[in-house]
Amino acid sequence: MSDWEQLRQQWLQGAISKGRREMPEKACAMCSNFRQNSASAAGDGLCTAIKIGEKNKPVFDNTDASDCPHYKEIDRVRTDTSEFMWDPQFRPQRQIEEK
Amino acid sequence: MAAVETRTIEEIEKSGQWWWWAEHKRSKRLDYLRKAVWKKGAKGSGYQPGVKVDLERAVLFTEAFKANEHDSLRMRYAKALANVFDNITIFIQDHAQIMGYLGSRPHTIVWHPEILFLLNEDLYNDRTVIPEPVDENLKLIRELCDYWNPQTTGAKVFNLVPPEEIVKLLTGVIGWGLPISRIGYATKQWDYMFRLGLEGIIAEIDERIKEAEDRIYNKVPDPEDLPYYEKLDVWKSMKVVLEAVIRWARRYSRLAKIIAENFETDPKRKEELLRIAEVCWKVPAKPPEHLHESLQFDHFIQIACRYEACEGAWPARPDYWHGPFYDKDVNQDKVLTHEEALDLTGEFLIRCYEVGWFWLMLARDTLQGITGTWVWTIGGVNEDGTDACNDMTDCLLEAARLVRVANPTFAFRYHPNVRMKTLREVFECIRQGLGYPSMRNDPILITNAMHWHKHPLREARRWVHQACMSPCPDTKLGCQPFRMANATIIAAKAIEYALFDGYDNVLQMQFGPHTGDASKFETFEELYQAWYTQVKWMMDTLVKLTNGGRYMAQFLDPRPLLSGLYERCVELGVDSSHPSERGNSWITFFAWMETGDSLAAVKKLVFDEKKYTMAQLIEALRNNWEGYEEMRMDFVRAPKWGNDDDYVDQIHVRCHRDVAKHSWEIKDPTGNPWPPLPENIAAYVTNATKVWALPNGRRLGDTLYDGGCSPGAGLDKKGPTAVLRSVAKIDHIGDVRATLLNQRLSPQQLAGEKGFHIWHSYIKTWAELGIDHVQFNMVDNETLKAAQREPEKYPELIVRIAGYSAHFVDLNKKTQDTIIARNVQELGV
Repeated sequence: MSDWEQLRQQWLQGAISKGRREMPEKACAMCSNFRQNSASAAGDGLCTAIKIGEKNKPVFDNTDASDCPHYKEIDRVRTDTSEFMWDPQFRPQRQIEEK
Repeated sequence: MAAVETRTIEEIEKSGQWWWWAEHKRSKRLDYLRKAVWKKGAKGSGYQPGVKVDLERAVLFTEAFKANEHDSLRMRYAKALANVFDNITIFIQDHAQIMGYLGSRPHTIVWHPEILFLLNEDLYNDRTVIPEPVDENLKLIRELCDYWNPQTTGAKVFNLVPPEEIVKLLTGVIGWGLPISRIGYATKQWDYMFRLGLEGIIAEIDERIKEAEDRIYNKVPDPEDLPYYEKLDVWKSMKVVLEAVIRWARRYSRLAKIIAENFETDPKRKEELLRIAEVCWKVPAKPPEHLHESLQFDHFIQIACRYEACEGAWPARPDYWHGPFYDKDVNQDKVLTHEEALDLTGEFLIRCYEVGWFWLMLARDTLQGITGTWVWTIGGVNEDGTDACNDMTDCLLEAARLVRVANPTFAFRYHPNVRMKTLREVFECIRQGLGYPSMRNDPILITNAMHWHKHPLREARRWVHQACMSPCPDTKLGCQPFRMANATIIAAKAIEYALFDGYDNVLQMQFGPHTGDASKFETFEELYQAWYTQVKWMMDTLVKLTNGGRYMAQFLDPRPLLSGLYERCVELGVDSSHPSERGNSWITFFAWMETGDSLAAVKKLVFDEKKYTMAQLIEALRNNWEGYEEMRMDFVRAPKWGNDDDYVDQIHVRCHRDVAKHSWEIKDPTGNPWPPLPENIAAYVTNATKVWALPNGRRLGDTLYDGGCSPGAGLDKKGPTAVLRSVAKIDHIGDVRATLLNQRLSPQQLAGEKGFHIWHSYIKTWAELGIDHVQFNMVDNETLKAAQREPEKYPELIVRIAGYSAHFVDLNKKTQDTIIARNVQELGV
């Protein structure tokens, strides 16, 4: 089974969260290389730094990135809501003022 | 409401705070029902406080699905749905006259676990909608997720795509979700249902079953009869679920009777409940004969279909189908007063507004404030071309002003012979700040439907909106069973890819085909051809998947209920997704108008004036314009769409024409083309993070243009006539399936009788120019800014987004800001 096929199987079996998601201290979701899946809010997305072939590797927002050499923490901006975790250019949809 | 209103009606009218006016004007019944309703649209991207997921539907569906594992998938779905109709908790709200709710309690939203594994995981991790007791229900949800995830339709559709290509779908650049029939939307064929009632349809199905059994069991064997094994299963599954819908409606009848006879002490309400019992016993089993019955029939069917699927739109033409019953009851037989009809109609809107289901954050984000794009079609012409406006049209418009719901909204089919009384009602809704009806140019769109999908003239005149924009007839061969919202591209990415050799700067990977190093392009034509190659590739890639999803849906994701409501399917013994209708596909182009503005800016500054080189431009863009502000401002000041400037407008026209040409080269499963339909809903905000810097001066993260053919916010400098002249350069029949124009008008200028005449002159000009759509916001900036400061004082302020309306306070700040930023057009007298 190819890497891609394995990844597909993980998705289909809901391997994202057998338990409710807990965020590691350094998680993919807090890295500026993470792009959230446009088709859901289920915690899956793409890493724009790690590739399989020419394509981005699918990761989950709670993937532990403590050993990842590409980890680059996003600029955090705390507001009065839970919106605090994205680079400035990614803030608009999260109701955060532009820089 | 936040405070007690003490002003007189006249003072309120003068203030323009029409939500207070509505509260004073509507009946006590409508006032109660409107205030009692739970809003299911998202606020920003989260559900409103108190809204909880309903697990009854999921549990009942799963129980019966498991219990019938030796049946076909289609029959298992039918029996599972029947189990829901037979057992889900029902209730009757005080003062209500129209029955049927999607869920077991008024504050709940249903969950369809059989559709999409991503949705299931989304629910499991949601922190707000899990009902009490949370731990126990989370355990149940986990069990349901584990059972359904591998066999959801989404999982099956994922298997149609090479695994490495799935990455592209997840980015949202190509496709918006997945092509799944249970998250598409479907036209309803009312002439068939109202003519026969469900019992009549079942009688037709029985005849087909008998014929099939005769062919299979009682004849000399013939290979031509073999498909009847499959058809037999289709018809039997239709029958199972249609009978269940009748039983579900009659449960309401029994409940109303029980309450009336045992509990109700108010004699008037007791009488009402007994009438409700009669109505629900009769419809949808039998054809309706009165307005109350036709509205109830309609609502039962719409809710029943949403128990079967997450139908994201609500194609309807209520004045056309309910108008004859209004006329009979109110004008001819006088068994109903106008006020009574108005109460029923207002409640009919509220019953739609309260519908909701647990839905992906993706959809909640891009459809802020609403559950789906439920744009109801009114006005237009009859099959013989005469004006179709009637007293029900006026009643719906009047009811809309009284209940002020953000969903459904209306779109009005305007034609030169429309009756003036109705047009004034339309204007009054717009003037009172509802943001709807949107205006559709009927003669243009009838011709458009004939051009693209070859609908005959009489059928084309029966068109209804499929969602925000696309017209499709609600006839036997016109009804669209499965429009895939997934058929969407972020068109501005084609410019990005043309400039970076197919590389995606946001995703940091090669996405489109290689079209060459743009820094070495020596002519504008080289850039244009690179763009054209990229946009064609995006359309082709999308259509391959979507066609596959549509074709396979009849096997992977059958819909026995919807199939049983279509004359075509009952006649042929096929599932609704079987591609035997006339076809009505289109590709939604999000972020389209940046294309022409970007190309024009490059042409002017690089190739005509030679102020910059392509290499300089690419470098500036690569840096997201950072460090190049002076240069960026040159590109911002380059010619822009919406100012009647042929330099830029003709580039837009060329892009439209070339894309339309390619539409004919890619076919849908019915053999018809895939024309473009540019619009944006609220995706012009959410997609802002997915489109890299562009040569129109836009930076990554800046809001995209908000319409389908609207100028960029604030870029139309020469007034409303120049906007219309630019937009009229597009051929609204041959270039697009439809395209969306947002305009803001001044409420002060359009006050009173004079205001109507100014607006009417504008509409006549718009229609004569052959533009297919326009919609208005008529709320001043002072009110909008006040609502941002003190949202609790403006809970009912409605605005038009792009194809739908929403309560202003339910939008995120970015979207609110973009509405305020649109230029207010002053109309000449």
